[in-house]
Order: sequence, then structure tokens, then C-alpha cells
Amino acid sequence: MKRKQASAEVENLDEELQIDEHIQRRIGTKLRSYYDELLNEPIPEKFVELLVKLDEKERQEGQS
Amino acid sequence: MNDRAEFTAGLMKALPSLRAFAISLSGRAERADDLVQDTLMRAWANADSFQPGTNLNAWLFTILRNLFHSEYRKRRREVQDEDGAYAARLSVQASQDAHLDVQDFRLALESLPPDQREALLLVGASGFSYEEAAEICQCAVGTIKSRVNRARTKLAEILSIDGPEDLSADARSRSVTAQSGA
Repeated sequence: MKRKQASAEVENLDEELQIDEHIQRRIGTKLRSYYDELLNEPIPEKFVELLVKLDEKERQEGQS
Repeated sequence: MNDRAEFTAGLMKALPSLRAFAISLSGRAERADDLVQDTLMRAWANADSFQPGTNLNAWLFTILRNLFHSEYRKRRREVQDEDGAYAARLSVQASQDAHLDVQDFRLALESLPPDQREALLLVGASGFSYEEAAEICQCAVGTIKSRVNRARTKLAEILSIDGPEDLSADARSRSVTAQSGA
């Protein structure tokens, strides 16, 4: 009962906050170009090294 | 063993998106790299609790997000002060400079409350559905939807995206893209 009320409130909130499709699209475009830059950054070597090390340790333990 | 190898390959593949999420969530590259490293260690230690065939990325994002928030709660006061000073700087900048680029967007994003920022990042940038984002954040789907909406509304406000005058900037960048042959 309580949960139903809460979700109805959230939905009402959604309608109030529904923003212009054109604005939403432009924010989406900006967000993706910002994020694509991050995705294309080179991955620090230390992460790959860490995974290789963990993997090797696992193999050794598996053998013994 | 095969499962483990597949798991490791999955972690490798997830690295760029994990790191992008960590950077945009925490706003600092060094802190983001600590977050990613802790996430990898924890994922590795808990590999047995991951069910093969389910969404590895969602599982990893959940770990990273939980790590971020437990750290955030510890630093809450410090972070709030920073946010306040930051928002002040930002509004000055926004009114002085009409040209909005990726840098401005980053600043605007950082000024959002963390729960709204993460909801927008998960749904709008990382490619998760509202349902997956709700699972990652351990909340209701309606909550995610409303956070995403609030985030967009706030960004539109900060970046003054409200009317057709901004169309000219878009048209300009489109024509530049066309000229560069992209």
C-alpha cells in the first residue's frame, strides 16, 4: 500500500519534470561526446598488469 | 579454469567503461583509478559469487558504485564544501562564457548531486536500461527515472539549454564536422 503511494508520487514527479524532447536530445549528445572521450582514453598499464598477476597467481595455486 | 579465464577476459574488456564511469562519478582521475583498482581486486576476490551468463558489466558497476559511496559517506563534509565552492565558480563561468564545450559539460555534471549524476551516467552514457540501473543502485525503477529527469533538468538549467539561440552553435559544429569529412 505504502509502496504504491510512493511510486505514484514518483510518477507524478516525472510528469512535472518531463523536459522538452529537443533539450533532452541536446543534453544526450553532449553527454555522449563527453563520455566517448573518457572511453577512448588509454587504459593505465597497471590495471592490465594487475589482472595478469592475479591470473598467474590463480594458475599457480590451481597447480599446487 | 575456463570460467576464470573468461572472467578475466571480461574484466579486461570492461576496463574502459569502468574507468569512464569512475572518472565521471568521482570527478578526479587519480581517485578514479584507485576506485577501478579496488573494484578489480574485489571482483576477483568475489568471482565465485558472480553467475556466469549474467551481466558482468552490471555486476562490476555495482561493486564500483558501492565502493564509491562508502568512501563518499566518509568524506561527506569535505565533498560538500568542495561542491559549494565549485557551484559558485561554475555559475560565474556559465554567465561569462556562452560557448559550451566538453569541459563545461564536465563541470556541470560534477555539480549534480551524486545520485542524479550516477543515474544519468548509467542510463544516458553507459548504456544500461532503467531496470539495470535500478539494480545497480539498489533502488526502484521509478526512482532512477526521476533522478535522470532531475539531472537533465538541472543540466539544461546550468548550461542554459532552453531555446533556439543555441541551435546556431549546433549548426556550426555540424558544418565543421561536414567540412572535416566526418
